[in-house]
Amino acid sequence: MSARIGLLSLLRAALVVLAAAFSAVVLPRIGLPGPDLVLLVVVAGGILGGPARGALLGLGAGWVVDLMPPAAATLGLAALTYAVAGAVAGLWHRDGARSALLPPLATFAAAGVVVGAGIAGAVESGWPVDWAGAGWSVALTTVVGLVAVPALVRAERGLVRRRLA
Amino acid sequence: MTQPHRGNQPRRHRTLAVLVVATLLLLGLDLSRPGSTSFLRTSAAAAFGPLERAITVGGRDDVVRLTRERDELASARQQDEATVRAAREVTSVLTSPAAGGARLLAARVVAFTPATSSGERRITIDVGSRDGAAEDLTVIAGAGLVGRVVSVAAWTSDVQVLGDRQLIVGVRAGARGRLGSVSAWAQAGGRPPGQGRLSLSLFEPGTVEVGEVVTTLGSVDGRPFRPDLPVGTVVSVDPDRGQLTSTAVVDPAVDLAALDVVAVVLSTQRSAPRPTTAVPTTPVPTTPVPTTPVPTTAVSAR
Repeated sequence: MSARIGLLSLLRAALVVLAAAFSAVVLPRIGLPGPDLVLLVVVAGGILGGPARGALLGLGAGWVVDLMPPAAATLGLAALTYAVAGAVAGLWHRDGARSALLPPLATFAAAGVVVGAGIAGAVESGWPVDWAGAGWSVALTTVVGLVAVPALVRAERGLVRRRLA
Repeated sequence: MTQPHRGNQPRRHRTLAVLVVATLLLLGLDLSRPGSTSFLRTSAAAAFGPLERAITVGGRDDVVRLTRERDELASARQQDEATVRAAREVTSVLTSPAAGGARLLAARVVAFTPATSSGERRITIDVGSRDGAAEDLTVIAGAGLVGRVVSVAAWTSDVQVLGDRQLIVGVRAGARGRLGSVSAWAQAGGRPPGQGRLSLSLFEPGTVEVGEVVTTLGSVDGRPFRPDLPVGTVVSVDPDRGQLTSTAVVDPAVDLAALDVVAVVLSTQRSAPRPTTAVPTTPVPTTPVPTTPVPTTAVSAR
């Protein structure tokens, strides 16, 4: 049992680190305002594990985002934001039913949490709010999540089932 | 394992995912550090080259050999061109007027703040404390100011780049050197500068004109900003709506979206004392001397 959880956590950690590094090194060179790849891993974990595990995963993933060079100006903000996003995604956790609507809804809600936190921070500090960029970010993350989150969920479910069998 | 049909599928998916991720990683490595994946190319060439030569049907030996040589030369030329381009970028940074005889540490940009982070603009460069980088040093590119070093690790440093919403740079604008500050967002009720542009806010109501150059004012000991580095050019002046200061929109001198080779300005302090002027102590002549204009060094009126 513990070995299974260990393997799954390891896989998620690796995915989060890869997603964060990819977002820092490759996406800016392509010139795309990329989707939030890290968030997709968190959403998949939340859908599978529920709010508590989603929050835990989000916290860890947020720390990776914070610390991945170039490190954020304020460490820990992303960690907290992603923890909330993971918990929100965990609200779409269902034991039996597997609706195709769950992943996009959870992704949309979680992306809304992350972008909303950024907007709240800007408003609080008196900085201008980039509404177009915020909307674009939510839309792009949701669209990529349409494909990526179900794939992640299926892969992780399959992994769990195989280890149980 | 007891249920092969249910067990194989996820494993295959996992394998596929791992392979795709590995491919993406290598793609990223290749994009960010050209030449770093040459070991892959050489080993693949060593493995596949003989095979290809063996299965080339009907090719005469000299044709095969000449074709191979031509391809090798073409790829060597491409490598050379890439090297020359990188060298030219480094030279343009190191010999730029902004460098001004200072000691420079050339660096390569390795990572950027993801676009999903709102308002922050930072880059990671591949020099660190072991190379001599330190906090609050100025970072320049060939065309002018890039930003300042904000944190230093052993082998990498983080740089806060112009356009970061927390970065405000003191500047002089135009030929008359009016004082002001440049930031990513409009201060004092000016227009938002727009994507990739900066906002200039003058300390006193005055005029700047389109096309005037904005340079850094400079900080104490040149940290974090050296004086007289080009920041950008005024592209439009905001209309006077009765606000306290005049504002304008500035186009950055450096293409901040395509940073590649930059330099950290290491030494900014003078090594030689500033030359002093000896005031003549001879008695004032009683006879009126012809008034010749004495060249004075105007410091404040630039």
